[in-house]
Amino acid sequence: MGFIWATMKQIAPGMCKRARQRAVRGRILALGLALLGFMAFSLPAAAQNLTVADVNRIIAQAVQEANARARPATIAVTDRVGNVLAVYQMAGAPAAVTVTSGRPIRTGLDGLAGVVPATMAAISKAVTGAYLSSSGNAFSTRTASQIVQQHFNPGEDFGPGGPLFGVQFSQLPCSDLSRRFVNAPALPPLDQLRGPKRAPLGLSADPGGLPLYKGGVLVGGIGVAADGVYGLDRNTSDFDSDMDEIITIAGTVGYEAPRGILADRITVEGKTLRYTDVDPGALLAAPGLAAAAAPAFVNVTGYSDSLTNGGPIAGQVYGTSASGVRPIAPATDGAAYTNVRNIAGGAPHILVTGADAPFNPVIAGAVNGGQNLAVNEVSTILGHALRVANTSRAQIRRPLQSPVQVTVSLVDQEGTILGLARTPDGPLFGIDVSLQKARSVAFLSNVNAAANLNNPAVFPAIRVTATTLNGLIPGHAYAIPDYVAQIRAFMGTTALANGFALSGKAIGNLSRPYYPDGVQTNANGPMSRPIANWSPFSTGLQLDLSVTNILQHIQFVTGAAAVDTGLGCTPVISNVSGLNPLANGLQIFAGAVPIFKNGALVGAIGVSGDGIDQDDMVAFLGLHNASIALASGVSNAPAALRADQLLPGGVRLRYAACPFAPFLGSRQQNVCEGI
Amino acid sequence: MTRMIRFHGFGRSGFLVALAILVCIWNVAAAQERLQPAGVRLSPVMLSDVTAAVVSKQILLDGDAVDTSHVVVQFPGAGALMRDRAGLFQPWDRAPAHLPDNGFTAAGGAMQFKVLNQDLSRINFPLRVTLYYRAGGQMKFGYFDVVQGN
Repeated sequence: MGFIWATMKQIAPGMCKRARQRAVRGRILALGLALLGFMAFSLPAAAQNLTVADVNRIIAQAVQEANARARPATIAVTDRVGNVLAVYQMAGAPAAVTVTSGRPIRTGLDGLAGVVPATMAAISKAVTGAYLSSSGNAFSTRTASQIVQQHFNPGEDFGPGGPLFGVQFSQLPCSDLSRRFVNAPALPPLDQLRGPKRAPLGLSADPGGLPLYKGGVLVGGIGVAADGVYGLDRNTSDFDSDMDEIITIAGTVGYEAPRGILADRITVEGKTLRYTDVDPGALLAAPGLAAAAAPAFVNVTGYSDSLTNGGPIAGQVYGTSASGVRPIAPATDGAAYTNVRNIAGGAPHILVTGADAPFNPVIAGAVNGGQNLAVNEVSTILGHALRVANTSRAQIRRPLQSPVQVTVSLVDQEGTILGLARTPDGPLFGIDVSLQKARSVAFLSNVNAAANLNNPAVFPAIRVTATTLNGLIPGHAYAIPDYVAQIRAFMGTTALANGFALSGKAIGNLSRPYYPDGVQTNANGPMSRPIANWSPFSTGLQLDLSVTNILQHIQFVTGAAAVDTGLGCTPVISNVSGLNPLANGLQIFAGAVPIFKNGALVGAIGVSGDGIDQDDMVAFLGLHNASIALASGVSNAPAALRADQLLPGGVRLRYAACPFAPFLGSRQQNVCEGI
Repeated sequence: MTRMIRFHGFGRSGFLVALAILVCIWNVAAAQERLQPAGVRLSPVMLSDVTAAVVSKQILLDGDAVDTSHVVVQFPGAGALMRDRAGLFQPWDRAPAHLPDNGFTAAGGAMQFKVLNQDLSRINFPLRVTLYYRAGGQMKFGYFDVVQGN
């Protein structure tokens, strides 16, 4: 009342009484709306999930549009943690897709025709829509296409590579972290619906994958394969009429992302992201009136029993134990999480098993040079990294001034997971990617990296197997030791054995098809294929380490192979422990740094979920802050060993980059300077 | 029904023949498998009944006089567990020197590594198993995946 009275007194005294009352009502209304807006952003979102009725409606809407356009489609719907809720294949839909970048490239997966089932493409697209999004950002596969190519924006000459360059090869079917669906209804359900689940082809950059929201809450994703092409958008300066995307848009009616968080409201490096090229007004059908879909559900080996089930299943409520991702439970998860849970902004989340125990419990690292990370050190580093995230301004989230939301993974120098925790609303893709980044950094900074990549007992098979399975141009199949030779020719004969600390950013520098990044008059970095053979489906060392796993998985899904890809992407084995140090694949963009202790490499921290500079800062500064708190010798790499001391090709590698003034409620600048 | 759909276009009998050939190849490969100092990938093991899973592997020794033998199992997303002589598992700190000797014996120039013999219906697949033996001061090792049959 006091506010209203004060407001009335502030209104111009010369106003007539009625006008003054109108003005006061207007202010009250504005205040109420502001309050509602504030509540909408600050209150925890209500628990939501996709019900069977929701999935049926989404599929029916997509089918109706596909029918209206006479373009039979394969449609997949997933929940937020990647469970495939249904796969529906219309009569006459293309059974397979052609993987193509649109350039005449026949290496890696590029050019693979008639081999990849459309069901796999549709699932990967749905997973991508769900995994790249959150309550603060809605990204599509078209957004993914924009940020994984050799230039950002695609088609802009001399622009650097996309900020998430390489993210398409995450969530791989061979990941040791992602859960697998088991086509065995007779077995107890157990972990079957706990996520995060794998994506059959990794993340997709092919338009036609979108997130699904209910009441503003992210509940899943939809993916459509109708045009027989699994590609990308090479030119963001125009607007396409993509059949997959049109049908997908129809499916999302009633489940649209809030407008305020769409990709096209978000800028990265000053460039606006793209959500879709399709105006919902262009739909031919009237989706809201769609009837339930007739049963044309299909089983997809390794992903879904839609046919056997007689239709869709309901999605899990994200954040519950049943979803596989839930808040830390102080009473039951153990003292190791003490340093992780004491942060502001809501309890961090962890992955849990079917028995509701931590899936990746905090453990100590293996010993190297007489040093290792203790449980308390792992916990403290995780906690400090999450604190940096909580106090920093997000790049990819709305509303502005939201804190960074990410996943943080810690590994030892052998790639074993020592701990994993995340802020509650970090995009799901960051779980697998943060671990990939940490492992990539730990592996390539290890003095054994060259020996492990040159292991003759492991790698000759890759050259033969990849070439044989792919059936493409044999001369373009690289053997992994070829990359070691390239790297050493570029960086010196002791590279990958000299103990230099290669951060995620430095690995990214070396993995671009131009070196330095974007300078298209120059040749490729040594971990990349030359641009003539490069595409997002043929990246170089990253893909070549996992291509056999991906191809075996494709054959498993089609029934051509009886056995699925094993536990662990890449056949790399450590010559120290015999374990796979890259068990969910190599990642090649920023957001990870090695961890040293009293001069010895003891592991790495990887961060993913926000902008790359934010990810970098959370890793680098979080580790620095933890090192001060611990005073145990744990630290960032000694400055003399960091990648930014190296000038291969006459160009200095980068180590870590932090945003200029990153903190919420603070004008502090250059926060990583001098560290 | 599930199987018929899954192998649509391939023919059930064709699949069975292919599977039989595959199993034969595996068996032949399995009979000739060796460990190596730098590690080597071994043929996978597919379990048809996870409720009574028996996993073992025969390794040719090529004249090696084995001093100690070791087994490590990794579950998805979890750390590595080492097997002791009694067949019990406990977390491994990734130091090969700390692996307990499983005491497997050589016979006919080969060694039978016993890995698991239990109900695995409540765990996630696949598993990654690494076998090691030390002979003449040198450690040799190899790994294979244990996958769930459909």
